[in-house]
Amino acid sequence: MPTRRDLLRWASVAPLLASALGRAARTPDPLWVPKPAPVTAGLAAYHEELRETVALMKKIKLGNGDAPDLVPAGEPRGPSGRAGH
Amino acid sequence: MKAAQALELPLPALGRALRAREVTAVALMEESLHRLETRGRTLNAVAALLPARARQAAVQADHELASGHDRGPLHGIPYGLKDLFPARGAPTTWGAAIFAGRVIDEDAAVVQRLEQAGAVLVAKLACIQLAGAFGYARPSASLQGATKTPWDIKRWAGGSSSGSAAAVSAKCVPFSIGTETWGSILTPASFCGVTGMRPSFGRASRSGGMVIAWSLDKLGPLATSAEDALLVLRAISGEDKGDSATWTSLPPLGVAPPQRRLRIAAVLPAELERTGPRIFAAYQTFLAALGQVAQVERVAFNPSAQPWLGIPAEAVTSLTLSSESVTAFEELLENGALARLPHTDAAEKAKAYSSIPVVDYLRAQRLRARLRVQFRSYFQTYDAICTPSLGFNVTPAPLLTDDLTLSFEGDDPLGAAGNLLGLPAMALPGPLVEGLPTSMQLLGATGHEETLAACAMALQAKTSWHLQRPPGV
Repeated sequence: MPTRRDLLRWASVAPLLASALGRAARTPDPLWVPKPAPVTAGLAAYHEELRETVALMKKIKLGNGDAPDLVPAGEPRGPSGRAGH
Repeated sequence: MKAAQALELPLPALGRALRAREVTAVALMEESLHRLETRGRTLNAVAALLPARARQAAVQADHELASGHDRGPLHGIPYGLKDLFPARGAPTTWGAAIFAGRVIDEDAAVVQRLEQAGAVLVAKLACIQLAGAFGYARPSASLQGATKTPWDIKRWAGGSSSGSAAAVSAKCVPFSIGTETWGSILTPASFCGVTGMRPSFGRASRSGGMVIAWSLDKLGPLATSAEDALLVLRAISGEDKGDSATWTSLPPLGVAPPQRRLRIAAVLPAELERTGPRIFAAYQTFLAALGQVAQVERVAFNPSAQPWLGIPAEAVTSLTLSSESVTAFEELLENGALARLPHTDAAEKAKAYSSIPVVDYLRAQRLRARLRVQFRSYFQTYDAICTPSLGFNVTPAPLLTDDLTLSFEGDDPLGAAGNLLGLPAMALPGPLVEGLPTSMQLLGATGHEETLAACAMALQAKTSWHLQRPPGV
């Protein structure tokens, strides 16, 4: 329970507080910096995106002989396997 | 000759001026540093200036050239480096606030190659945080803030090699080094009106640099002209023990391409005429000029004309990129650093990507193999494909305040396939539309950068779009 002393203290600052809040509402604070725009599609949305991506890929029928491309540009030779450019 | 004038010469002419002692490497370096400090900083293109290192290298270059020790066409030329690569004594932040002030006290392989070629590193250049891994919604997703295009400082320079493109466009450096995993050289080259070269996968060593996706990352030059870009590419290419991707059997550079008229497939979806008629008209003008130096054939954009369209290249590239990037940044996800990156939902995305089953990753790689076969066949008919550098949307450089997820809604099947298969591409400036540059890309077969560059050089010899200057520069 607030004491009588607490109530008197609040009463004394209330007009100042109301005035300050009013000023803040009317004039922008020069130190106010907008927060970065939230980008919160969320985990569920990203899982859904992945499901859609995989569904697109699954439309292409692959056979047992379709090997993965795990070496993007030619056959590796090793650092001393040739003279270089 | 004044350094201010010399700094804007094409590299071969600049090299002649240095060897004739009409200008010194020290004077060029000082002029470059001055422009980076003024124009470059205004554009938010600079991550760090390296005056002490640059002065030492420039003094050495002048001394060597005077004594007849010639290291080739880049000797004494200042350049800037995307802040994904370390350089001795300089901070390396990968564009991310979580790495502000970090020093990796070593030279990346590309820095070593350029040092051997006598080039003078003057600055680390700004980039999008983590080079855009996990996406980003705002141009300001960079430690330096949004990099502005010199063409309109209310607009974005593009990313993720933002500073690399802006610094060349603003004539602060004759060339720079950028990287591309999917669009990070071609996009800023487009928005800044410079020539960008994405080399074949494995052409230049990435050793020492940040990894987004081992099977997709490439690095390459941005410059004013195709000839300058090719000279830089020759200097940075070759086998390196630190990057197994370079242990390949790519055709060597420096060999003249066939002296026949090249056959080029022009891919320009008809709907562009409706969605962006003025930019579409600029593309038509570009293709007409290209037709003066090559055999350009308009190709219908449908799967019956182009079988590779039957494979969803964007989905395959996206899944490959997601799987590899979450692995590359696993530590940042686990230690909570990804959650502290602004302007991105990186942590949530990474959590989702962590759950991609290996069977789906391998499905993507099996489709990648199919796509490679189809493109190999396509390049037996055509020497190159010409299409807008930014894919099939007609977005001018977005405003700094734009939501990029909305700006890039267009399709990019050729950008996806090109990066997935490690195909080389060059972004070439086209006519201005409403004061902003347009850009077309030439996409070629693996290992055929010389062919692309020869075609681009022939085009640039007949046109002056690559020489257009931003206002006030």
